[in-house]
Amino acid sequence: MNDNYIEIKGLYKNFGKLKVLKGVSCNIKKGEKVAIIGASGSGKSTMLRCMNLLETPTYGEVWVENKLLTPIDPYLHFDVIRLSKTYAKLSEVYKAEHPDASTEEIDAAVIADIKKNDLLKNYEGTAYRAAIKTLYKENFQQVDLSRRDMGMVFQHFNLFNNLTVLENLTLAPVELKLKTKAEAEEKAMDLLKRIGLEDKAKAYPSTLSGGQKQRIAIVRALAMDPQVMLFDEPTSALDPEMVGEVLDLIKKVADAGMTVVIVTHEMGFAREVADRVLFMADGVILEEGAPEELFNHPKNPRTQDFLSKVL
Amino acid sequence: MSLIEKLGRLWNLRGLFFESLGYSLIIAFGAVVLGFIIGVLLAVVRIAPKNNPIIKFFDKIAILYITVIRGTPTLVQLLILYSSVLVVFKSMSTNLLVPIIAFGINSGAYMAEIIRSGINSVDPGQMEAGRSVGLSWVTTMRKIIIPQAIKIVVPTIFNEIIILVKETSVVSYIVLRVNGIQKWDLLGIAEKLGLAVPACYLIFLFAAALLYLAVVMLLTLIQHLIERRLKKNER
Repeated sequence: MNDNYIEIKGLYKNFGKLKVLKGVSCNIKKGEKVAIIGASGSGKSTMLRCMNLLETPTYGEVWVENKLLTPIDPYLHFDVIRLSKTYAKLSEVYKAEHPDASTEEIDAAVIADIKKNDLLKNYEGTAYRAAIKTLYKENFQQVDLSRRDMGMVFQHFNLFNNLTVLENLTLAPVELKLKTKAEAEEKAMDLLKRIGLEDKAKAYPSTLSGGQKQRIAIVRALAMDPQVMLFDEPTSALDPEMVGEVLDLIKKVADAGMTVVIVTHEMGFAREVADRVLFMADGVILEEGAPEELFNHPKNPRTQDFLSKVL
Repeated sequence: MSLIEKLGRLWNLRGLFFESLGYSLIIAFGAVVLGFIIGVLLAVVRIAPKNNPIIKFFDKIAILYITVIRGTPTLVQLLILYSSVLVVFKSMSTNLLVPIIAFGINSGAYMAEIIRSGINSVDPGQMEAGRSVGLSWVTTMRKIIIPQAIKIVVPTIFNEIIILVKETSVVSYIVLRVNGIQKWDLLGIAEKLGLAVPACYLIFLFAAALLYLAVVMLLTLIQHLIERRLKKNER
């Protein structure tokens, strides 16, 4: 157990031949505000999208609140290995070769052998298959459960086009039976009032401006009472005059104590809001540190180069 | 015989045409319903995430089905089914189901592609947004993707229905029976009467054409009403 809310360990992501993430590790603590900066194509959005498994990493682990979200490796579960046919066969062989070995010794030797030589095959008997299936199912459900606690805001807003603003905010809490319809609507109206858009409750997304859409997308995520908010370039698709209203709202959310991870090109905003800034290039985190440190005294030449271009 | 009398006699044949139109519509309607069901099932299989071998297997079947059905003429499919049924059952007193199934199977392949492309044309961001708030794939499909896809596919689905209604005219190649009595579809009756009265063949064909046209215009009207209704909850 530790106080990291999100833990990423050795994350790799390939899109076909394109290697987007090449071994990224980072931890995000509860209440922390982390900004991820870097040039386009550096993998920062992909990393953010791996945090709630909108992208499935090729290798590596994503832990949220000490729960593993990435697909489970059967080699990590000795109970499962013990159910396999290979295990049964090898332990017979081992027993024959070492007649006086204890059960623990056989177990340890066989499992070590299986793990080391990657001996598990696709079909390992029904008991093994059932155990794997249960594991995958739990893992699969855990992803949906964890996503409830991770609000995500997209570059292109992604409001549900077929629903009114109010329905956008209430759909998930009501569908997931976290709130009754009345409770959800009360909360939604409260949130809309806070951003001054309560008169748009019955409007459809197509009638709203970009800034309004993005602010509603933010409160849609907040309507789930998340533990962390992930922002994927929330202002990149906005007209310049609307950037301010969205950033103000994100700042309010951050100031209220929410854990925030934001991928952004707004350096001024990153410096103002973040506790920690990660600089990414070519699929790895090249430098990280407090904003003052990173923006004023970047150590890595790539960071210096990037900052000299954008600041 | 005066021209009026001649026209009067032709007019007396209208009952035959309406009855045949009825059979054409029954076949078309049954085929649309069956085709839609098959289409939805195939589209779901084609679109579902391929994360288990059973879905992958059904996906292969769906691809094969769509390839074969879209790759062979409707008339050939109808004749194959009709002849197979003849071989198995010798004779049936009512065989309306044969063309319904033949056209349904045929239309299902087209409907599947229409529905699949409709669902695929919904912005993938919608699915991501649904998943990101913790909704399952199925719930997001049901609440977000399908309602938007319906709006997109209505015109194409109606296009397919209209084509299907007209396509039923190839039924005249087979012998339709209802309770042991031979019946004709709309084109079939025009052809039969044309054989009896060759001088009026063209008139019968025009009559059939007009009735097809009327049905299609009615369908177009329904399509516009549905489209207008779906547009209403956009703004």
